[in-house]
Amino acid sequence: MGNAAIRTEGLSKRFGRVVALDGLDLSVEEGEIFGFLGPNGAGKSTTIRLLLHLIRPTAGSAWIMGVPVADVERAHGHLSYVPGDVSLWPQLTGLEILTYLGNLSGAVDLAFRDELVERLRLDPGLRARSYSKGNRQKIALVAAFMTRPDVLLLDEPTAGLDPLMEAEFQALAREAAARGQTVFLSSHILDEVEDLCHRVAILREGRLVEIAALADLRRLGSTVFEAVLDGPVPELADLPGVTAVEPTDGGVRVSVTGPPAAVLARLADAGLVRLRSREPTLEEIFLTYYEATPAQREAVAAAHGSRPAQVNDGEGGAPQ
Amino acid sequence: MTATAAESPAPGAGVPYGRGRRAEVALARLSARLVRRGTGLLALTVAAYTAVEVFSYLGTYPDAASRARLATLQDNPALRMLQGIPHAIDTPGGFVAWDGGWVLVSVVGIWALLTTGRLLRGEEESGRAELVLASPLRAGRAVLVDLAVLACAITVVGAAVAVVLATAGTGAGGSVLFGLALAGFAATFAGVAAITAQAFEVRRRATGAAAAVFGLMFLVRMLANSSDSRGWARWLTPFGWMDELHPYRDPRWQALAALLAVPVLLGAVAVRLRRARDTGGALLAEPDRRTSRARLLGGPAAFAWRSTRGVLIGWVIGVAAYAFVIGSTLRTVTDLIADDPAYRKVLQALGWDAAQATKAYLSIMAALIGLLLALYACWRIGAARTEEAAGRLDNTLARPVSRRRWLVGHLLLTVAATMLIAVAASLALWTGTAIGGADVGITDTLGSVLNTLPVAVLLTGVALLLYGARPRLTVAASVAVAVTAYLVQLIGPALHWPRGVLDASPFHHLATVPAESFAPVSTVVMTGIGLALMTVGAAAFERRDLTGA
Repeated sequence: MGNAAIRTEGLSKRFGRVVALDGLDLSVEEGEIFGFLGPNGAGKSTTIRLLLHLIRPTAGSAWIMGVPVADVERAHGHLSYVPGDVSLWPQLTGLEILTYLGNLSGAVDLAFRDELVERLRLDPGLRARSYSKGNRQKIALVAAFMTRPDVLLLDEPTAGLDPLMEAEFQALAREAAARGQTVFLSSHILDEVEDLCHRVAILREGRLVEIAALADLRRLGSTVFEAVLDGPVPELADLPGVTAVEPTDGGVRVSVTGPPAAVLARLADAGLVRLRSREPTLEEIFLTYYEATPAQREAVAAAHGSRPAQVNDGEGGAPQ
Repeated sequence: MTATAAESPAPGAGVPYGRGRRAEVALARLSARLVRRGTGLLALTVAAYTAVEVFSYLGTYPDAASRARLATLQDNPALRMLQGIPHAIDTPGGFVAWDGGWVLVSVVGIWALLTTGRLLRGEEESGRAELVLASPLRAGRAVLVDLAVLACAITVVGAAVAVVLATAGTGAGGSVLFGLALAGFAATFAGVAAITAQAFEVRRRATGAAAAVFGLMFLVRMLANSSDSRGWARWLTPFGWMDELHPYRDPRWQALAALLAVPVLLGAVAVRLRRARDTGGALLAEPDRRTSRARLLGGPAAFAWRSTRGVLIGWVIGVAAYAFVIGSTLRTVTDLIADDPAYRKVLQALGWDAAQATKAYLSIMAALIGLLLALYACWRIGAARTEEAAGRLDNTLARPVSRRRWLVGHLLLTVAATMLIAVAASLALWTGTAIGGADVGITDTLGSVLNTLPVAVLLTGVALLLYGARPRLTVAASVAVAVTAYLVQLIGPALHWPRGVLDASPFHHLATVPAESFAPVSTVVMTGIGLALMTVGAAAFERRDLTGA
């Protein structure tokens, strides 16, 4: 450790009057699986394209394995890339595309390439134009992993993959990290991030709003209390530390940052029947960072409400 | 369920799909949006070109005497082959229909086939058509709607020309007739492209096939007009229908009927063929599985060569076929020129004999080959742009490949491929002259064609500069520059345009090789400017962001 695989200093990008990325300072260690999160349009793909030097920064600098990204011939010798939207040469077969991209990179371990093709259940004998989105994604994944690069820049790599292939991808990412390769993973799929990543950065409107280990994020986050009350729900929103209040069946769900004493006292006065506390789910943490509107929060809660894991997990919750 | 769900309207309520043809109207609006800018620009361009033609005619041939002299052009075989048979050229309208008509029909016809390929195959190839076909709209009907939109766009262009002609006082009847015929001509090639769009899975193939038909029809017209005995062949080609139309004096209604009926027929065939195939599929579908070939995958330049071979073969065949026809008719043409006392006088004034006249004519024909070479070079730089716009360049440049290495590969390929077409055209030209019995050697034909290469180098520079600075304009603007430059040299000198305007055209600086000796200074200057523009363009490309379509 100690050597930064990816480093940025004040990295900024404007498109006309739109600020896509604003002063990003980032350092990703070798061998790390780093999650890069943020809502659509937050600047995730812009960051990755800046790291690849496909677009030029308005200000700031970036390095891959200590090489300035502008020196693409050296920097790209260290990395591979899976774009968010994979475009392939429609007339070429999958195998021809892998051969071409392999030739551009130099040495490719053909046995390893074939193993990847096998593991991702890719049929490389077809013309690319007949590939579905998932299959195009697989070509890009094989092409990225086959050179065993020091740094993998992955822009939503599992979009379009079925759950089985998603699991295979996670295994590949873990193996890569175990070999000392660095994985930079932009994603929307929080389960995937939770399962894979050591650290995450959260980007919003082009600015870095948080960068932390997942465990720390949870600790920093609020505690969720679910109370069943024998009586009307008291006013809670005015109490210190309360970040969200939602009515539930026969009670209330309240999120609190910091000491919960005042909230607990008021709930006790309101005829508390039962109280459960739990750590917030990753979704809840991210929604606070993403600054979702209450209606969006509710929609997410409704979408996940049916999942028993989140309701029953509670009870003081053993931190993972 | 929840309150929000209860408040939202029931599915389909308030949207009376299936009634009132809303899907058709929506598609028509969408397609109209896609073509309106191009249509507007083209209408303005052809209107301006027509106006220039009319006023140049009125200025150059103000009286009956000068117009009578013009009538001697009637029998010039070269002009008959290229521009068609002059008719009523003692009237401004008749002159424009003959002198400018072939340019107008070519430009509007090629635009029509490209636009049709884009709407009927490009939208499908990109997957966007599926969004449209998810609405209550059958595929055949969607083709019909797109064809209707194209017909409207083509009519606008034809009307623009007709209005200019009528306003300039060439006669309302003839103007309407010519505008209508121009629209019918363009619609015919839109119909051809509509059919090839059903036959091929990729847009490039579909428009390529339609362009091949266009080229073939032009060659048929050249042969048909090369001698009176072959005149019947005019009825085999839309170019011939335009020749037969005679809009400004004694119009032939059969020609107009052909120009209006054939597009309808072709459109109906296209709709019928569309119903017979799957969305995304084609009548001549290639199998999805094939044996992988590892050849020419070693690097960006080799890969670009691999990707471009098919189209290059098409260009070589097309340009060589044109050169062959020119060569094979060279003797007939120059014999006729030599027999004309008026021309002989002109030649004597220039100090030329008949052999030199042959060579001068060869040089004039080679200039058009030079234009084709320049157009190929512009298209070829555009192919590099397409690679970027489609997002495929990301795959290449995310590897240890510098932008310069990638671009230089494409540039060398452009130069090599242009040379290849030039040499093939020279050989075809020479083969044609040998068969036709003209007295020119292979060095003459090589010289005449290779002499035009500096123009191609210059236009490659223009295209590359655009690619670096304004990538979305790469092909459109460089092709516009090339065609304008050619037309300036074609029309300008005869109409005594100011020297400054003529000097702006690189074609104006070409020596009449092989009648004259090659001009080293202008060659070096043009090549130098071309190389400078390439350097600036490449530097701009290295500094800018990659951009999508």
